[in-house]
Amino acid sequence: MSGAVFLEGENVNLTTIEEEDLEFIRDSFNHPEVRKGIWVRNPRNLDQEKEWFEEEVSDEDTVNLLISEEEQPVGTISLEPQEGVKETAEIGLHIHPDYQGNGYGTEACEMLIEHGFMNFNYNKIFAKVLADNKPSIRLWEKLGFEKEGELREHVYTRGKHRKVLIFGVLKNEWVSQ
Amino acid sequence: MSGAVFLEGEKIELRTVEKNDRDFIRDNVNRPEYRRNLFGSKPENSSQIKENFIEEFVEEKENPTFIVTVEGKRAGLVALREEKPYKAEIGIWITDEKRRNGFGKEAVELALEYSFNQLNHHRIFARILETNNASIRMFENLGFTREGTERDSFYAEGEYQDVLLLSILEDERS
Repeated sequence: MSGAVFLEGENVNLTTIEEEDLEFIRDSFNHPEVRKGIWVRNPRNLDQEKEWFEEEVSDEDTVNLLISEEEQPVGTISLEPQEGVKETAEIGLHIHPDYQGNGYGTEACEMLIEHGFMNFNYNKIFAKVLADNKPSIRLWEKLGFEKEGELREHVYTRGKHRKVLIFGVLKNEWVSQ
Repeated sequence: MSGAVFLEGEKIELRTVEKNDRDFIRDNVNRPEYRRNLFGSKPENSSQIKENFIEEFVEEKENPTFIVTVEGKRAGLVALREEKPYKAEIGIWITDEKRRNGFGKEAVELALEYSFNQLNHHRIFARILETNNASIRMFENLGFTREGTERDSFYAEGEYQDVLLLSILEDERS
């Protein structure tokens, strides 16, 4: 971890992603446990992570940050504006299995959501989650997100077509809670 | 050392293929006793492995390809070449020193489970030189059916040889 601290929290910081972090990101996204909760399809090697780094992380629109506990990267988080819509953004995150269960995801989300509403002036932030990914659903509910809809049989993973849920929070709900 | 662990078995792991695996791949696919079974006839140097195999086949075309490792050490390679969204060809090799331990069989099992459960494939097939008895036995043990012969499909050692086609469908897994 060598990036700059962008948002500072109590237990974790959100820091800029640097090329040196790509090995952690590669190991984490390919991890069999991590892939159970998301629907990443193919294996990704270091070169493919570099391409992602150059084309997407260094892109001006999407915010991609490393979640770090002191010097140790523990996950990633992103906030991506919707194409053609300037008031809505999609949030996504993952925490490496070795560092799950410490509330790092919750804190990281709180910081980035706050930043999105207060500095980008988004009106709404939403997340997509596999319907059987209980820990992730609990996270959005705890953060005050509402379940808005279901995408039936939306992705094929672990042997069947699975449902994806959409959770969202509005700026006025976030500010008032 | 090498790539990230993507799939974990009992005895082996399947890891992402990285640029620094290229000499391991080169040293094995050029071996005289191997290359016939891999349908190779021309030499392939390190930079050809990097450009044609790692950059094109693995990275650009995104064919799911893995280095087989045993206790963290490279032992072989398994690849799925996606021909259509619903079917893929499988290829496998294990280094000489690591053979006859069931590593190849486990690597194919892991790749098959991934292929059917994650990639939603319907059919996986393998093309095996008719003289490659060890491979034919392994695929048959895994439930593959011998479905055809490509007559005189490969020329090596001064003669044309038949290539067998074996396949397994998603509902045939044991």
